[in-house]
Amino acid sequence: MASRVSRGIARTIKGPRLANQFASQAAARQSDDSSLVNQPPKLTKLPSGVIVASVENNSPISRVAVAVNAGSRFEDADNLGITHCLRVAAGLTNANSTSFGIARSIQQEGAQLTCTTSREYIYYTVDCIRDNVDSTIKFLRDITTAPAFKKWEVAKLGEKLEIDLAAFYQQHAARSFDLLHQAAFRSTLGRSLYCPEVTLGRISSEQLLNYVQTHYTNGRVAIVGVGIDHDQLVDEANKFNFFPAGPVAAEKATYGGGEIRINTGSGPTAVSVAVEGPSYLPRSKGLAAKDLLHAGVLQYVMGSGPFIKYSNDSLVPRLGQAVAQATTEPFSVSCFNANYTDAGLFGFTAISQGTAIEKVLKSAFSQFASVTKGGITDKEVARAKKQLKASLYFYLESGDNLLTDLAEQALGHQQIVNPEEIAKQIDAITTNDVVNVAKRIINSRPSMAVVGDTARTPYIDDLYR
Amino acid sequence: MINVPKTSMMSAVSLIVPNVTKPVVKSVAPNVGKYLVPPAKKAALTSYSMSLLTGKGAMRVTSGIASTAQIRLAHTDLRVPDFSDYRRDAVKDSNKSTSESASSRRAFTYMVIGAGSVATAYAAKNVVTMFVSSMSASADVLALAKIEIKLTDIPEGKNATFKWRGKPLFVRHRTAEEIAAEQAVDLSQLRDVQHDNDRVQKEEWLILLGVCTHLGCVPIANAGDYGGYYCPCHGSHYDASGRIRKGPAPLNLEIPEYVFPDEDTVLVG
Repeated sequence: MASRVSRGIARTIKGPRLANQFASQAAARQSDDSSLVNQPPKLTKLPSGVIVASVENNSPISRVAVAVNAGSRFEDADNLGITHCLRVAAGLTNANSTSFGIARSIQQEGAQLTCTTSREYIYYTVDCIRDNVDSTIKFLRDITTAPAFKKWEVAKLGEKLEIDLAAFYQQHAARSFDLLHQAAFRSTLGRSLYCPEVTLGRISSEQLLNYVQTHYTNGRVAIVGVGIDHDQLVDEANKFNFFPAGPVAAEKATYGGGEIRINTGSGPTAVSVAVEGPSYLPRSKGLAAKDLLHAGVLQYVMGSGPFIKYSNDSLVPRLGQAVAQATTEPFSVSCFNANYTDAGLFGFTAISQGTAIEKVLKSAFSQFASVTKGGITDKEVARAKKQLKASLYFYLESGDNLLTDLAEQALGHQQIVNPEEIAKQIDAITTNDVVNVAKRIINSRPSMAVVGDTARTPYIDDLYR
Repeated sequence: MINVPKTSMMSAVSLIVPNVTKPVVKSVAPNVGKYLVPPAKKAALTSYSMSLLTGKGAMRVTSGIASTAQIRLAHTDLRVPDFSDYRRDAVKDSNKSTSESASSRRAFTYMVIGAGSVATAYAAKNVVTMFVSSMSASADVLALAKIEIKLTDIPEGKNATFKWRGKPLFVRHRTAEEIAAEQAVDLSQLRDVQHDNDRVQKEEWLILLGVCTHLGCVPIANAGDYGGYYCPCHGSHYDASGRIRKGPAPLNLEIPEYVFPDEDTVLVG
């Protein structure tokens, strides 16, 4: 008992200093204590089919997540919004604990239990002090393998979904990004992360149970951990008994293209425009894994948000500077590169007041057109490569992001790639590659989603060329 | 994910994007019918605040306890009643400092409390003694404890016997010779030394309890060798002052408390 405590204290004292292990380390740090060296991520595939991946970053906090290949893309026409329901219902009574018991026990441990959904995965994450991992992982186990979804509790979910939805509708940029996927992919990746209004409160307990039993199966689950010993995680993972694998209708995501416009009256307008981008995994049609990083470089060539706090987007090349020539009103234009396993979106988000949005969009489009005509300079590509590498490292500094990245890699291609290798690949990119990818991207069919003052926002065919 | 159901609704929307760690603007409580609507916290009006809303990659949504957003429900339907009828004049004006009147208010309050405590203590003491003293002897019992004797009915030389407190009470009207004889008795001869004057208030009236101090028999008056009393049980001789002269008794006959309220009556007890 005493030794456990002192180990914990020793970790607490030494941990934060060595927390950012993943990036390059100075040699001086490594000589501090031989037991706290930088450790590579480890991946194990259990005989049951569950993938276990972890990286030890000597943090005093352990983060463990169960990632399930059951995101919103697996919704079909009958159960729209079921992943939103699942996200909100993660803490409800299950076969082994009541919702009150879960809340109280988690809080007693000082831990945090969250559920995150993306378009492809659902993550159930628990963050806790390293010593308390055993007692908190069992909640993950109960939630993912022994759900109960009591009828009366599910019936009350409608209120929570309403509040979630109303809060989401206030965020125009997030909403336009979500609607962009619906315009681009229609079904599969087009399914929203939020429940549509018409199906609020209509999801039943049987539907939830059915969805969980269909998708939370051995071949579709990864248990990932950050700040935890790999063998300990494998031991815990062996105690999980997921549902037996069955047939799952897996539609491939096909890009369609279109336009969605939501009028919320005058005021701030958010516009998301995108074309089909590279996917995360290799595929036969369209941009794929090998073009992923080129698209990333292109994203930073065109400009992806200001890097100086409280500064204007007008300083950011290329889009920001171009739009600043067209209007003096405040605006923000930033490129994004969203990649999924079998599809992707590459585009930009523009935010400004309704009176200026037309000028913003027109100048942004003309800037993209000039890339195909005038090309990109080496200097821009060099800058963009550095920014891409930096953003990758900054992203992985956070334990939460590290966890998600591990899960996506484990479930996506069953191996963990170090960021150093990715950085090497980025360094190997040439300007020609970027220009080629840019031409293919800019000439494809666009999709657009507008949330805000649609009366003043032009349509996509007005802007296109 | 923890959503504590029923009471607190907490949810978060965070646009977590790969390649940048920037949480987006926190969600605010919207209008969902029965919940109150605080206005949106701040509209994004500058370029920088707008740029915080954009992302660089795919979107994830997180729900959980202690997440970034919180919905607070204000209870503006509660109204605090107006208590100004009960307030002191010195503190009614909310623009004036009340520290000047503080000492006088405090003094008044303390005086009222002090006076009240004294009165309460007095009343309490009275109530308690009233109830406790109800356990002492009642009036009829007390009445039986005294006896009033008319002395004119007792001739000289005679010994009258009365029942008093369950015991025989002897009232003897002594003659002058008896008085003189008793007063002349040599005290060194007495077993229980007491002069006659110590035993009577008025010389001619000898009042004593007729209970022999040996073993409690009733002595016979005008009997014995000393002209007083003689106890037949064990042969104790008392003189005309009730003092033991001969026999087994150790002490003189007991003299009770008595007063002469007037010439002709005596009140014993």
